[in-house]
Amino acid sequence: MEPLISKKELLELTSISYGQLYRWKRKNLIPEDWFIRKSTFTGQETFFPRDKVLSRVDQIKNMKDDLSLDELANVFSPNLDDISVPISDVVERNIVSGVALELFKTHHKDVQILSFLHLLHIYVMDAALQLGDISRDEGHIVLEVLEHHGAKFPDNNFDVVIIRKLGSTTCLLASGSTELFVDSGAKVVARMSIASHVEQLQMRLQQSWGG
Amino acid sequence: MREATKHRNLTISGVGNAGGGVYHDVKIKGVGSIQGDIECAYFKVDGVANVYGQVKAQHLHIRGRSMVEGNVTSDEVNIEGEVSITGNCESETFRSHGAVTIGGLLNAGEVALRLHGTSKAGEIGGGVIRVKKAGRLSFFSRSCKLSVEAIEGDDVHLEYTRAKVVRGNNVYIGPGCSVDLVEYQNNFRQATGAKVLEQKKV
Repeated sequence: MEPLISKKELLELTSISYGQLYRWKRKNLIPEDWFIRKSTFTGQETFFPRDKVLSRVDQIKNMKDDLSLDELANVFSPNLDDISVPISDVVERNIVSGVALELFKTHHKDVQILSFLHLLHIYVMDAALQLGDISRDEGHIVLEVLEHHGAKFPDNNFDVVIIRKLGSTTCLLASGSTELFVDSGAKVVARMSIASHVEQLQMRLQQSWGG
Repeated sequence: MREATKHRNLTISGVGNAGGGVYHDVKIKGVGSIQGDIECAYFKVDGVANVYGQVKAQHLHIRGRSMVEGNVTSDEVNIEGEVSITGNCESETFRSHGAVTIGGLLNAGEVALRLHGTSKAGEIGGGVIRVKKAGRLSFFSRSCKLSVEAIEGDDVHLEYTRAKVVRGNNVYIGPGCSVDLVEYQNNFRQATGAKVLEQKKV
């Protein structure tokens, strides 16, 4: 269970007001399902997933001078279907590494325009590659799992989990809050949240357009 | 909100039914019922309207009586009469003259309620929240009352309100109120005759 923060604490810590919080909620800058209702001895209170909401409030505060709230809403919950990037631009615009793109190309020889979903899969795999969590061969596994099963989760709310045991590697997808336990000989090499990678990729795309 | 200029208008005069959908203007004069979600730029009711579905409208003007079985999302809500919304209601401004029942959360930048009769809401949250009794001439004025679980806002001014918790920067609890707990940051005032069980500066 991730740590929670009460609404009161959140407002105190970030020095935002009720009015701002409710406005951001109306604009969907803070997703509905982060508002967790619990009863306490003082009655119903609202809690948030601590880390997620703190970093989100931080992002909003940093960006709200440059972008309108509606534009911000687009950053956090963009219309992903609208995004496509020609394959030749992907490395040039520094969205993913050349190595990762080559791996993708071995699966899809004739794809010229990448959809957001394609980009996301490559981006996630690239992130694991760059961290040294997986080898190139294992990158193929990650891509394959994402492509076959990634669409089965609503709202991209799932994690990619990479497990290694006795030198062999497997990759699985688990919905966001699932807890996993493995035997002592096995090791969870990486667990990556797709939702947060969607956000990062979104930011990166925006930067590469802006710059 | 979606650009709705290309869409057709829906007008019900007299008694009529319609399905949901995307429209530019929706006007109901008389008695109308809409089955399904509706999205439009301008939603105007003179009379009685029942909507069985979500309502998304840039402007929502209701004179008379309306019921929405679902959520309401809007930029501007103006109500004269009696409205009940079973779900949540989100709007930049929410002004009403009459009786309002909201099952869930009323979330608006500016909430201005003039009470006639009995109003109810699950919660009210927003920037400026003002709840007042309607003018003295009102027929219902004797029994005007708002009951709500919690109210949270920057500036909160309440009259004739029964609430469990009121939280805000500046809070005024006026005549006819009964509040269990007030939590305020800057300023708290209480009218004589207002009942507040506990108050805390946080």
